[in-house]
Amino acid sequence: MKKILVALLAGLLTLVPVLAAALEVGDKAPVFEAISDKGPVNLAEYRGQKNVVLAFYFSDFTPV
Amino acid sequence: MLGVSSDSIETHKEFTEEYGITFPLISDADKSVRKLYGKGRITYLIDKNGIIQYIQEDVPKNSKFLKKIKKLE
Repeated sequence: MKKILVALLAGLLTLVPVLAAALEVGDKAPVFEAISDKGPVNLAEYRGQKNVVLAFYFSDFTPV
Repeated sequence: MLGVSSDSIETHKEFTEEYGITFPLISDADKSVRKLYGKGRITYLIDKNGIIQYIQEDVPKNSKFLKKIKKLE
């Protein structure tokens, strides 16, 4: 019984970060501040100003 | 339009110069932005109110994405 509980708990703990990262349509986009080649970027500054396309990709100079 | 990868600012500069990219490329070397938005080749459309309106996984299908953008404008 104890083993099952431990296994369940371990399973839940591994799921937590996955669930936390999964954003869905209708969610608030998490704000961030970052550096870019054109200077600092603060996502919060786009609020009320512009729609934003935020594209994640793996690496420069690669086909996708 | 914002691009995000873990490349350095220097690499981004070479890349934007070579391809004439005019929008900012974020250097997410510590993957802190990545952690907020999840894994993979993923593109988000965020409206003026900061609400996610569309999510496309894998390589973006441009025509579909453009339709979604036009809907917002």
